[in-house]
Amino acid sequence: MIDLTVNGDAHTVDVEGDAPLLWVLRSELGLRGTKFGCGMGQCGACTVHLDGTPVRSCVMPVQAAAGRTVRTIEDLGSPQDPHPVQAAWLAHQVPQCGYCQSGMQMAAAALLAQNPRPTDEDIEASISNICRCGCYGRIRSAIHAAAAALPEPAPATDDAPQGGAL
Amino acid sequence: MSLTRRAFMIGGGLVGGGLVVGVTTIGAWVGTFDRRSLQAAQLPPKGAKLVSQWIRIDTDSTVTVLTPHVEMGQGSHTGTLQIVFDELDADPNQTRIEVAPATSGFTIGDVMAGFVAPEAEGFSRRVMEQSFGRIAAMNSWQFTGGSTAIRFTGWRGIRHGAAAAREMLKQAAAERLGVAPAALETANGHVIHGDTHIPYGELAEAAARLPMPSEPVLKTPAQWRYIGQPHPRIDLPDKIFAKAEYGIDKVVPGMRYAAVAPPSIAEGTVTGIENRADVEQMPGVEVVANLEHVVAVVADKPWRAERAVRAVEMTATPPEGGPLDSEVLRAMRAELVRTGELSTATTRGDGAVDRVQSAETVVEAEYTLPFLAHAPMEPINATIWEEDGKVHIAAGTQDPFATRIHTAETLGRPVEDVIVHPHTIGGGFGRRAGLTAASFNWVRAAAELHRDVGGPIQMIWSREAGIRMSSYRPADIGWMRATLGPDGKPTAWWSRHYTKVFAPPEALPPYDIPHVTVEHAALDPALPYAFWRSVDASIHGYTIEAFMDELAAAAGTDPLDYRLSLVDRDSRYARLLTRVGEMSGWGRAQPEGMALGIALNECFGSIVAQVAQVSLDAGRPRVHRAWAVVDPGVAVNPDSVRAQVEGGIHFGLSAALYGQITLKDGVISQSNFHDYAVVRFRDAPKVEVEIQATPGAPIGGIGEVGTPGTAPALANALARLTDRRRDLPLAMS
Repeated sequence: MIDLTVNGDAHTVDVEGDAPLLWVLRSELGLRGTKFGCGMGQCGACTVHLDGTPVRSCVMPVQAAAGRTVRTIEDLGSPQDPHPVQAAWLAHQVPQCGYCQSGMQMAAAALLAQNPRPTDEDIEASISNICRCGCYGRIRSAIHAAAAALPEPAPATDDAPQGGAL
Repeated sequence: MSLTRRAFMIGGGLVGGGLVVGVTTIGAWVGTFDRRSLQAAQLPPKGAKLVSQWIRIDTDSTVTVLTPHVEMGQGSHTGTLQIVFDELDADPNQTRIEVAPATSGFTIGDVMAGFVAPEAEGFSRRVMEQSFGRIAAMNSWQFTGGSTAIRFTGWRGIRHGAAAAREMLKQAAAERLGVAPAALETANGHVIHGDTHIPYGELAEAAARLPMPSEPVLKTPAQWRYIGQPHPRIDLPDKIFAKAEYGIDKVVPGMRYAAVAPPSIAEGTVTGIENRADVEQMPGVEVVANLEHVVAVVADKPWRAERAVRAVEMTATPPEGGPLDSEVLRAMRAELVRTGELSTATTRGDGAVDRVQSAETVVEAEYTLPFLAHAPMEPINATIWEEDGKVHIAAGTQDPFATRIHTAETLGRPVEDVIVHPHTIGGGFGRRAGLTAASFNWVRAAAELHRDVGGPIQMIWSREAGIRMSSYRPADIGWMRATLGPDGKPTAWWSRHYTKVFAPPEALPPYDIPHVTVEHAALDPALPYAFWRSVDASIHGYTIEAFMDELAAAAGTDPLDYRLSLVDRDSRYARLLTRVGEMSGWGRAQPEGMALGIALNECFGSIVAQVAQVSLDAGRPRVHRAWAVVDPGVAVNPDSVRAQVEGGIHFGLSAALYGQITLKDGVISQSNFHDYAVVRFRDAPKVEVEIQATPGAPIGGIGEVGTPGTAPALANALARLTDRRRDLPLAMS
């Protein structure tokens, strides 16, 4: 039995501790917005936030998430209350097939929480997710637009929480 | 592959002459083909009326457009709706689109007619559409591919259906009001007479009883309000808010999960599972199945199925001819292409071969192109179960009807017993279409599991299984020779290729070269072959455009000027080449260590000229910027056109830099994104796409035309920085 907090809800799942978090989310908790893409942490389609940090859930044993806070795409925003990333994704008409986009949005949201004004180089260095449709240019533009829609970042201090604003 | 399916495949490749002759002998048969009646008979009798072909209207005025094409990111559902908004004068808020049933009435005759006779108009167009409508219906052709959803089905069948429905609704209103149809107007889902506004829903039933006009009056471009305007994609909100249901997201109560492993020898046959008892003891495992073309494990949880199938130790026999080795294949093919007898030739002018053989100076090059997998983001999957005496299969498939048929054939049951549920697709690129039965190896595996194991099963292929049991863009060798006249222009062009998917017009250079011969061996592809985004152009777009730069270099001429000197000054080619030169600053000095490369491509009725700005850093090529100018004839949704060209450039760049499937001792060397690398942010150039649609030009397809030009533009730029690399992929050379 493993206790998980996912999108604010407490769950207990009866699976072996080394079951991948991705599949626990999908088939045990029914949260199928997080996608399977490669199974070896290469593509990022399975990106979720673990205590605010983006992780590849396909290679994360579920026991590593025990007692911690998992956030998935289902909690990022809604059509009525979109996350700035989602609003920008719509405005820039980012997705094509769309399959990688929940992972991309989770990666982008995590990046903006940690770095509210990322440069192109920051995006390149911090998001290694794969999009086979080749939407990278629109993703870049949308991240910049989402950044512009966020409040001005406060001056950096040494003890600023990392990713805590997610 | 059945003979009839093969016949289309040839027809689709524009050598449909025999087919056309056959068609003319069956005129009477053709004249009785009535798509609307066929469609009406195959829809539920209750509910919305099928007013004209592809168009249903409910009493509450909801318009439902049926399309045989699935949405896999290309945006064709949105574009199809834009066409209907205009031609039907529909209310966009009351108009929706869904994938049509996988039945004969909803097959893609318009696609075939379009490929075989793209220029036909009026009566001859009608004859072609009727003929191929009939042939497609008889042969169950219903696929999404070939850049056809808008170009042919949308722009012909559905557009005509919408325009016909509008006339029928007016006719019904005219009879109700006792006025002439000419006295009526239509707007926003209503027929209008003075102050009287009749919603379409009130007229649908009467309209559906009227004959469908065969030549409805279409809107003129000046009347378009939606066609030609950027329109938000209808599928994006669900994709952004994680509401889209891909095949892999399907849930059937009580379903178990299947994972698969490929034979230990590529294209081999599994003869035994050595550790079956051990695998059966693994947690959650219910069945370990040797399906011969694949091993499958069914378990209660998806990760348990996958772990168990990875533990399988199997024995396998190699394919006929022994274990495959891509270097051996390449050497054999190179020998054949250089010196052997090739089976087919396409020629322009006369005596290109003699002219090249007798010339004193010949420009020579040989290019190698590897096998490629599609690697769509959504791994291959299918969910299969029995319900109410029918077999149901849910999947992202580029061919719902073929999926239905392959399922039925595998199960030995009538097609009527199978219901297919097509899902939005997490990337197709050809992998989920079927040129051969081998392309549907995943449908076969799912059906076999249903047959042998039973119960609801969701089969999910690992990325490794998907890479190693794909069907593949064929490998090829392009052997090129040309002679130049005193002015440096080519006088004769002779190329030889191993691989032929079709006899493609794309194999002929689009330039003013008087004598051209292109030969193909067209022999065994070794691995099962598949359409791969841009099909033949993915090969010939590279060999022709790389060779053109080599000719320009031999002539001592700038590559852009050289191309311009070989096309009509007033042509679309010239306009696009000139414009992309302006956009990219062609001819201006580049930053230190950078160079520009250019390519021109025409396929699926559209043309793209593109330029890449490239650097070479420690031997690693990088495309920093790319510019493309596209002429699709009509850009129904300009934003989607741009998106498809942007995406096509990236897809081509992945292949150009990294893409290769190789075999060593019978095993495919690649398995996942660490060794079948694709473009990520660090490789993704800044791309600018401009649309230069030629007024009055036929509409072209857009899903594929952006892809083939990337590799040659990159190779041509690299050749200015270092010795020319001819073999793809370029980052590996």
